[in-house]
Amino acid sequence: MLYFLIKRVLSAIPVLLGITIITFTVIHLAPGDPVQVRMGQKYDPEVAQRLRTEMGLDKPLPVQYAIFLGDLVRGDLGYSFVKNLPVNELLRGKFGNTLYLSISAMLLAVLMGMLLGILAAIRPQSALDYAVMVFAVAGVSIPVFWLGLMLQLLFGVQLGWFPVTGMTEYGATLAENLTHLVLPAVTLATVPMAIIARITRSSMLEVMEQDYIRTARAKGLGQRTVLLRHALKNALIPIITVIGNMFALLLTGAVLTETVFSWPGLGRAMVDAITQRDFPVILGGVTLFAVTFVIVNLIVDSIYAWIDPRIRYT
Amino acid sequence: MKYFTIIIAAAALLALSGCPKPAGQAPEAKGPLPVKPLQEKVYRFPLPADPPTLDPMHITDTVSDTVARRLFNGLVRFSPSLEIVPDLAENWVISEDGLTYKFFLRKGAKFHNGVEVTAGDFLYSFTRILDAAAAARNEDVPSERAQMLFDVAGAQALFEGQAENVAGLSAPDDQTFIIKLKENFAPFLSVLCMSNFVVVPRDAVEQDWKGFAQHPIGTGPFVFDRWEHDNEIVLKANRNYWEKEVKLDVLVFKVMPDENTRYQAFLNGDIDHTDIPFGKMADVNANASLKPMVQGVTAMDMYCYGFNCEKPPFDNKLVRLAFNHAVDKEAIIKNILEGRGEVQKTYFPPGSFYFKADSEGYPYDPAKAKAYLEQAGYPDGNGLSEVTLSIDTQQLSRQIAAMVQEDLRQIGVKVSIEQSDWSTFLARVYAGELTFHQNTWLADYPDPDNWLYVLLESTQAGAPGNITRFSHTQFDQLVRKARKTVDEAERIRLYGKAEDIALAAAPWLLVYWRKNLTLVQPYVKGLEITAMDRTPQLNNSRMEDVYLER
Repeated sequence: MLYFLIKRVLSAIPVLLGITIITFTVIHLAPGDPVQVRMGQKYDPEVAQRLRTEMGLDKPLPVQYAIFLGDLVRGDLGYSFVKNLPVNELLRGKFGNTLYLSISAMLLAVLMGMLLGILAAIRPQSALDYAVMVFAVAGVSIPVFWLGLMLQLLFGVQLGWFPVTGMTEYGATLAENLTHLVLPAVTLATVPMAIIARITRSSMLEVMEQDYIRTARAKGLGQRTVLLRHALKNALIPIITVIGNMFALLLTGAVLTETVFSWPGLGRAMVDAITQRDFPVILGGVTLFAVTFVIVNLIVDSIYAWIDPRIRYT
Repeated sequence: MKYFTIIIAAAALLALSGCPKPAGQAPEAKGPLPVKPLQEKVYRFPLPADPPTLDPMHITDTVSDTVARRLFNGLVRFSPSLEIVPDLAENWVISEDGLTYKFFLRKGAKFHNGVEVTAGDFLYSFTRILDAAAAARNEDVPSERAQMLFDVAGAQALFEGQAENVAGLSAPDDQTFIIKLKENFAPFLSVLCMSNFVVVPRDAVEQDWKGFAQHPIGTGPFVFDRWEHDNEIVLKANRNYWEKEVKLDVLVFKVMPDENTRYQAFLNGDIDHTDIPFGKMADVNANASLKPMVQGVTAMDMYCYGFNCEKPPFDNKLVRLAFNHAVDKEAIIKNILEGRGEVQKTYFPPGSFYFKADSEGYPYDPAKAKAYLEQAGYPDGNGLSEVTLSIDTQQLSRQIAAMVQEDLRQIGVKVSIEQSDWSTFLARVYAGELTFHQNTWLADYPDPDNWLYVLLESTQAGAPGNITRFSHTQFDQLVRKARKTVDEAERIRLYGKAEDIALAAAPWLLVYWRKNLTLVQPYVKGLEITAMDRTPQLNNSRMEDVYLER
């Protein structure tokens, strides 16, 4: 297992290196000039030149990349071109906010999704099963920003139950601030919830037809034991895979939700950085996403062994 | 039965996610909006983005500007009617030759850290903007706005590292600050009203110039408290404000990038004013409780198109005139802006000492447009290849462009629309690659110089401002002379002649002046929106005069 972990971590290095090289090349190939964005509309070319030197953009690209890599090794992502802030500081807060939203959404999606999937699988072709399947199809089909706006209208404006924007309210208590989480978390959870519900249902249905389930039933075990201990545990592998992929997608896919709900997260910061050609923030953000992706995948793979003793890592 | 359940489930889902409402009926709250109970007198101010910086000398955008204006003071400032009035300078004297400006500072004004403001602080604040050498010593980053002070004697010498200080700036005593110009520059006082030219405390900046942009110290009506990036900036009332008692306790800027989100938050009672999203004006007008909450004026904020006057077919003024007469601006304002604009008939907006009120602009007249096109050698558009109209990615820009495209098709001109993101758009327009493109401008200062010189004089071609590359010798002479002329009547005469030339040459396709219509909660009193304001930024509205009657 330890050997497996070391191998995986080592194999992640070329992946990360490749990602930074591609990102670096792409952002420099894209049209648009960070100095121009910074100077605003109408500016003096002489002043722009000073700024270009200051931002290190006058150096050849390989040198710029080498500087970035050298700083990266020391854990320093550089200084934002647009915001007067170190990228580390800028991303740290944002990443925390995105994690907070994504983990909440993920918990909701996993709990509700698996519950719905199991309920549907217990009585296939029943009314409940159809309702769950309609939800599963609708959930992945509804555009996230539309759903967000509709939830804002219904629960924010019409009913007044939850705040519609931001993460915190000036002068509010912790409990009041928690209400800010509800609508964005539900919005973000809808797609993974629908997918998890569908996968759980089909995986459970498949397992339920296996011989060992019949055996378990035949030896007189109760419905609950059969479902949870025998069926669910065996049905979990595809579900875990989906959850792992979903989580990484949630982190990166929170952009729309973050924009609709004015949530100060990483996704929004990245979109801003891209439109403003804030190269250090783009590179830093992509690196952070890549590292997170690698770690989540590693965790998911490690969980397989724990669930299914047949899987061994060498 | 099974299908029945599916239908019920689907219906329930639709109901849960909100049903479409009948058209023409305002979907939102009919009665008074909810009023949130708050302990302190808090004003919740929406911002469309997180400010890039709060260090005044680095500000180039309207969002940073709007926060900074509540934290800092300069020598002079604009009144709500955009006259120049005293700020930290109690009064000033301009020498006979118009070159020397002597400012007498008021006594007793203090920075938020308790230190009294002196002329030395102004000397430092202005020198700092020009001290690019400090950047090379890694003590500071060069100011993006250095060139705006190049009219000061000796400014360029310091900028280029040939001098230790600026010869034209001096502070003979704590209350006197003197600026000498190298040549006459009539709009200089207006330029000084920009948020870049405020006073910053020398000691605090020198101790930690990087940190200063994150926790600024000014002299203004509000004191910086905290800044959570992309979420909120909290300012507290300055209880020792030198000018007057600030009526609010707290000013919270809430970062909300989406216009629909801001609108929802306003309806929800979560913010105290908002802009009105694209397409929502009809809802607002149809809603008896929202309609009286609308405030705003026609702003010095232009939306038009530029022709690249160097490239065919737009090097021919007849083509430019034909395009101008072909577009129905009234229809654009009525159908797309829902009335939030005024037809642009001039190259300088209403609201300053100079405005050509009697100009007819280019009235919508397809017959005339066709005649011009024929005169140019393209009867019914024959022989004219397809032109590309380049715009940014906003929905509004696309809708306007579609109407322009249709209007031009009527006179036989084929137009394709090309959208690119702002950064790409700027790079290409400055490089002179685009031939027919969006041209927007919000006044830095309400002086014709900021338009007729910066945007149309031939030495300003490209990035400095003249993106249409318009070049006309007599026009150049007039606007160069006008910026050096102190006598106002003479300046009006010069700008009048210059604008006649511009109108005849038509370097732009004039469209409209924006109206900054804003929804303001009924309990907000004392808020005055000016012609230099974007919304929801409300850059020049004086928040120290605002109070709440909840």
